[in-house]
Order: sequence, then structure tokens, then C-alpha cells
Amino acid sequence: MFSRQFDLAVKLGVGALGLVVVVVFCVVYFSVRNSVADVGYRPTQPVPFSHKLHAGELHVSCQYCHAGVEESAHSPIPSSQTCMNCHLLVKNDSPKLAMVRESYDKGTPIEWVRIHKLPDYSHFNHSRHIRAQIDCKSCHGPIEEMGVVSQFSSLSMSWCLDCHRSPDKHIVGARPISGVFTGKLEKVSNLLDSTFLFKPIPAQVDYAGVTDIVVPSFGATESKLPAHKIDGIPHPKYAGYGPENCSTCHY
Amino acid sequence: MMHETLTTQDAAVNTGTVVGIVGEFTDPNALIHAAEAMRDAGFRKWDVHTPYPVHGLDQAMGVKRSILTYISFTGMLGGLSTALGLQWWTGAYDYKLNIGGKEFFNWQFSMPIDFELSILGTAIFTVLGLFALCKLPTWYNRYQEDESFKKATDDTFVITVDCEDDRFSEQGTQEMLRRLGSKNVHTVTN
Amino acid sequence: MSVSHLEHNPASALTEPIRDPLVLGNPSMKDVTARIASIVEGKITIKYLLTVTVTGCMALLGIGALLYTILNGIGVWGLNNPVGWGWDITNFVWWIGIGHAGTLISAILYLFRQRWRNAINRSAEAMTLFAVLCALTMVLSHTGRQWLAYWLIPYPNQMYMWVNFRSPLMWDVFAVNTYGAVSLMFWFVGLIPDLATVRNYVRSKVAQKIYGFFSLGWTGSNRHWHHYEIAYMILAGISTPLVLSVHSVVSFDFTVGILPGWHTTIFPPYFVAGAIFSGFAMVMTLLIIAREILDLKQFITIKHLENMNKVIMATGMMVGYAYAMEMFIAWYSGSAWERWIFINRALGDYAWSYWTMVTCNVVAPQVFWSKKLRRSIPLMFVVSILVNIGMWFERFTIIATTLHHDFLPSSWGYYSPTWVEISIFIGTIGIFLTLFLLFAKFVPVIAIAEVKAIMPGAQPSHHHDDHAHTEVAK
Repeated sequence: MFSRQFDLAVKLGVGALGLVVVVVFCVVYFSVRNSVADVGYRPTQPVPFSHKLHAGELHVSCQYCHAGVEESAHSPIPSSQTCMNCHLLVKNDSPKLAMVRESYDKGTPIEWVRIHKLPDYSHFNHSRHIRAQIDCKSCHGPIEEMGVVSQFSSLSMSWCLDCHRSPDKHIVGARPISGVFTGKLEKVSNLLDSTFLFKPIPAQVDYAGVTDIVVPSFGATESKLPAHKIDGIPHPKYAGYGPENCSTCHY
Repeated sequence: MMHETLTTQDAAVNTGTVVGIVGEFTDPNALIHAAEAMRDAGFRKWDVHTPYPVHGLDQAMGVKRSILTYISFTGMLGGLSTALGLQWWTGAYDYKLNIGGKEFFNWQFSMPIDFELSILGTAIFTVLGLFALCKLPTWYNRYQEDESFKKATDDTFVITVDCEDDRFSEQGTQEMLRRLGSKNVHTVTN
Repeated sequence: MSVSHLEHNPASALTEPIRDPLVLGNPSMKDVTARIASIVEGKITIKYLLTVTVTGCMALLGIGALLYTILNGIGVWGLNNPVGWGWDITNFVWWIGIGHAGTLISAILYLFRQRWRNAINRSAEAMTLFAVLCALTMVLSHTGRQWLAYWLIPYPNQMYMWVNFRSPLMWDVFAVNTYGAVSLMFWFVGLIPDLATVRNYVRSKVAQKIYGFFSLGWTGSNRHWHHYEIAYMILAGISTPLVLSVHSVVSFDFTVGILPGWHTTIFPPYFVAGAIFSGFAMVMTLLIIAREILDLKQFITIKHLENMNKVIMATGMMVGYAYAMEMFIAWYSGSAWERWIFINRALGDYAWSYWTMVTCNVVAPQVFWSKKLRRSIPLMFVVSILVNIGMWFERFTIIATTLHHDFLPSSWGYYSPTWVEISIFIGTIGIFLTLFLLFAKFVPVIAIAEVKAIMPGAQPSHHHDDHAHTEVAK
């Protein structure tokens, strides 16, 4: 009824099919994740604005344009007026800036292409992180080296949690250019001096006092409030650790 | 109907290589006696094909106790440890998440899934173990074109003796089967 | 040598002359093979085609409604606050319950050596599979974002999230899927020898190849039967606690919640009894039709149907006991909410549903006290349909009455389904019937090997020095 060859062919065929399924699964499993699919998203912006020039070479502080980030959930995109603060005088006839001038004159905003997007059901609060003295670079990468900005981090939930669990491994030293200070600035001229870069903040939590608790905080850990180390910057309540409970981000 | 056309095998007996000898039985008692005789005669590579499991044939053939129960038990242990490990590791180790103040892990709430995965592990190992022990699927069979052999799924008990058996001899084995009450004894070739 | 033994056919020792025979007409084994295997070879009749067309259209209606739901979201259903579970979960529990009879017949009755099960276990198991499929359809469609249903599986993902093993809904995922998988394996393992029988029976080359392929090359070798019987026994053994656990876990979906009317310890046994009750009713409905259409009266005898009616009556009374006990405990508990919810169940907005349930489930099966009525086919057909209806209303009553009036009178409401939910329900019935019809036509509908094994003269007598063989033995 069935030949020996048929028997062998079916078994090999099923084996090959299984292999294909495994390969397809692996490819899909490892390629649709944000760290592969979203990182490096680099859309063309309507105006060829270069962070490399402005932040990297001209040392314009992040918060000059993204003003109010330290007290707002969102990091604002600067209006054309912010651009024109300088460009009324600098390069005021550059064709690359035509769109900015037109926007400034007419009062219509430029439609920048948004790069960093979170799903609607998760919230990220910039001010909360800035107050925890987390430098922009920790999440956005070396923006001052990017001519055209691309997405640096996956923004996946596991990426958030990685840092909430062990911030020491992920947070880069706070830099003066970002406006996130961990100490007093002595010399403004040394903004880019690498020796001037601030060290990562050591976790301010009192590890001896950390206990796993179940009720009623809905967070993972509880500790005594750390000492107020830096004048002028409100310290995070549980500095060093990000909370891991659902309602931290999903509210 | 093909079932009525079954006759003794005569044509094409001597073409091709000998595979073995086939004999038919219809009486389960005679079958048991024949199987005992074959077993006592020291045959190894022979088999009885029946349309349904016949009581006592295992002992008569001298088939050893099946190891399938141990395979199934392994599957049960695998399922149970998977369930316990998964629930403990995800809930109490990898990501502790406080839900309604319930404990991160304890055996009471893990019971339903422990139970279900034990069952699932047992079932999967049992079926795969059955397939492995019976070498299923094996679609090709050397006796498959033999008309007597085909009756083994209908109403006939069929003894097959493979030519590889040490005690196999075409004449002697045929004679022995006939003496044991087998009908339509013939050599199968292909 | 036993002299008395020689006075009659030795094999008749197994036929239990006091009881009714399990196979009528004393057919030969060849007849059994031919009778059952020939169904797959028979011509497809107009009647069959018409029936499949009708059920297929029902299935298509349901699939269309499911697509509509997926495209628009479950807002197209009648669900809203306060009733968040409606026909979706009612149908899910109903279908899962119907599936239970198949496993009960194939596993529990097997372990109890109830040999009358052999004629009906195959179709009952098939029914289980199709019912579980319908149940999965219902429960997946109610998740809202159906394309993310794989999130129910614990797998390492970039969200770092794991499923919540402390939730009974998660237990349900495991229970139902295990149940479906084990039922499929049990059914297929049981089918292998019969597919081989059909392979050797059919004349068409194509059919030989197809049945041959799915029989995996089964030869009936006793060295295989040896393992096979143990495998079958193990599967039966593990299916027995499994079937009892599945509906218990389904009931946990309700009992672990703290709502009055759901939060009761009686639910697991009550649900299991109800599941077997409704499942047997569905098996009965299908078998009465199948034995007429496929002419299987020889194998599915009135004795089989009578036995099933006894089970239906017994489980019906268990369910009735549970209804009474719920009421009693509601009063005895002293909990004002519990009391009120049960008064509301019997006399409130959904009283019509409650009393339909009581009439169909408790009153209707009582006719089976009479042996004459128990053996009346038209009557048992009507009762089986009534039980199916009653059990559907049981689930609906439990879900709707508890949800529609919760703790806050200001948020009380009333739930009615939309055409989408009704279409999906009709669709699951269509899917179920279509699959069952296809099964009945193309798969050996009765476990041929098992029936043969219990026929008179099939097994050797235990006396080895039997007549006729003495000369051979020497």
C-alpha cells in the first residue's frame, strides 16, 4: 500500500516542516520585538535640524529648547519662536530654515515627525525621571552626536523594568548639558569636558532597611527615605529603585 | 466485495525474496495454544496480528511487561515539575507582582495548574511513548500486500514468522503452523 | 478439565445471559466490520448533503458574526455594565459541560468495565472534541482583542510580564486546553485500529491511502496491542480525574469571585453533575438521530439508551438537589445579600429563566422513573432536548442574575443579547453539528475493535485444555 520510500519521505517531510516551523517561529519571535523592530527608527523631519550641530558643537542645553521637561510629563517640542530666538539673527536667510520662518510668520506649527511613542495605556512622566536625576542620555542615547535623531531604546516594558530594577547598570552620569545637575557647576566653560561629567548617582537607598513587603504598598520594596543629598533638586522618594507595581505606568 | 475473493495464496509465491510465513486462525483458543507452542519452540521474530486485543495472548506469546507505565510516570513528573517551577519562578522569583495581597507562591493556589499539567505531561508521554514503542507511524510493512495479513483487522488472527528468525525454515515453519491448527499457511515474498 | 464447561459454548461465559445482549442480531465479526466500515464507503445522499448545507450555513452565520465582532470589538454585544458576562460565558460553560459526557463515557465507564459504553464511546468522544472547540471559540471571542489571545500562554516576552497564576481564569485556560488536548489524543489513539480496519476494508485506492495514512501503519500486531492497551488504560485513568477537574475549574471562575450567588462551595460538584447531565442529553440527542440515519440500531440498542437515561435521571436529580441546597444555604447563611440574590433569582427579572431551568432540568427527567417511558425513543428525544435547553438556562441564570443586580442599586441593569451574540451561538451549534456530521460519515462511528472484543466467542476461554485443541496440544 505504501512503499518504503513513501514512509521515509513522509518522515523526512514532517521533520523538514517542523524545522521550518521552528525557524519561522524564531525569526518572528526575535524580529518583531521593539529592540529589533523599533530601535533605529529614523524618520526624515520636515526641517533638517541637527542635534549634532546645536547640542554637540554649539553646546545648547537640552532644556533650552525642550523647556519645562523637568516639571511636565511630556518633553515639549520647541515652537518656531524658540528657533527664531537665535535665527532672527543667525543664518536668517538660510533656505533650510524657510519652513521655520514661514511657520513663525504665519503662526502655524511645524509638523515634526514623532519618534518616541508609548502605547496609550502606559504613561511615562519626564519630570519624575528628571527629578530622579536621570540624564536624557540614559534613554535617548547620544543625541548630541545624531545629525538626524533616531530611536535609541526599545521603550518596551522589559526595558523600563530593567532600569527600574537595577538603575545603576543603566543610568549614565548626569551631564550639565542636559540640565540635570548632581552638583554645583563651577565653570560653565567646561560644559563638554569629559572630566567634568558627573558620576552616576549611587543608589541612595539604605539597602539594609529594604524589605520585601506584601501589604499594603503594592510596590516591591520599602525603605527609609534617603537623605536629601543635593540642594535644589527634590529627591525621589525611593531613590535608586524604580517602582515595579502596575499602576506606576498603567494608570 | 474484495473480502469474498480471498483465496489461498498460490500465484507469485516464488517471485522475489522470502519475507516470512503467514498463517491464519479463527478460534482464539487455538490461537493461544499456537502462540504458546511458538513461544516454547524458541521463536523470537514472530508476531500475532489480531483485530482486537485477545486476553491472555501476551503471556502466551511471552511478551515482556510494557515499560509504557514508566514513560507515562516520567511525563507526569515532568508536567508536575514544569507547573511548580513555572508558577514559582514567574510569580515568586522573576517578577513579584502584588495582586490583592495574595502570596507570590504557595502550593494551595498552584494545585489546579499542577494537576492539569501533570495530566497533560502524562498524556503526551503516553501517546508518544506508545508511538515509540510500536514504532508508529510506519506506513510501510513487508506483509502489507498479503491478503491473509489484511484480514487481521477484520475477523482473523494472523501469525507472521519473519525469515530473520534463527529457527525459521520455509518448510519446517509452515508445517509447524499447520500442525498447530493454522489455515491457509503460506510464504510471503516481495 | 471442567465438564460443565463443555456443555455449552465456552465463550458464552462472557456474554452474561442474564443481561440484554450488547450487539443485536448475533452478527459475525465480518458483519461488524462491514456494517461500520461501509458507512464511509456509502454514497453521499441528498439528505446528508442538505443537512450539511443547513448546518454549514449556520456555521457560516456564526463565523460571520465572529468576524464582525473581531472587526468592531465586543461592544457590538449586549454586554455592558453591570452585566459583563452574558451569552459568551453562558455558551462557553454550556459547551464545555456538553463535552464532559464524552470523556465520562470513554474513560470513567471504561474503568468501571461498563461494556455497554463500547458502542457509543467513539461518537461521544468526537462530540467532546467538537464541544470543546465551540467552547474555545466562545471564550476566545470574549477576550476582546482576540488576536492577542496568545498572551494567555506564559512565554518569555519583552514586556517581562507573566500570566497571573493566582487567577482562576488562568487555571481555566490550562484546564480547558489540557482537556481539549487529552481528549484529542484519547480519541485518536482509540481510532488508530479502526482506521486500519477501514483501510483494509475500502476498495477505493484513494480512500485506502487516506485511511492508511491516518492509521499510521497499524497492523494489529499483538506486540503493539500489548502497549496499546496499557496506553488506553492510562489515558482513561488520567481522563477520569481530568474530566472532574475541568468543570470544577470552570466553576472556580465564579466561586473565587466574591459575588453573592457565585461565591459558594457547592459549585464544583454541582457544575460537574450538571456537565455530565447536559453532556449525556446531547449524546442522547445525537445518537437517536445517528442510529436512525446510519442504521446502527444493531449496536446502539435500546439498552444503551436506557442506561443513558438512567444516568440522565440520576445527574438531573443531583442538579435538582444543588438548586434546592443553594436556596437553603442562602437562607441558612444569614447573609442578607445571599438571601436576596436567590429570592431575586427565583422571583426577579430573570425568573422566567430560572423556572425554565427548573422545569427542564428537574421536572422533565422524572419521567424516566417508568421503565416504559425510559425505553420510549420519541420521549427520550424530547427530554434530551429539554435538558439541553434547561442546562443552557442554568448557566444563563447563574451569570445574569448575579451580575444584573449588584451591591449598588443605582447601577442595576438588565441584559439582553444582540443579534451578534445570538448569531454566534447559532454558529457554534452549526460548527458542532457540521463537524459531527462529517465525523459520522468519514470516521468509523463505532469503536469496531472494542465491539469485537466483547462479542460472544471473541475471547479465549480460560481453560487451556479445551476441546478440539487436545490433539493439537499433543
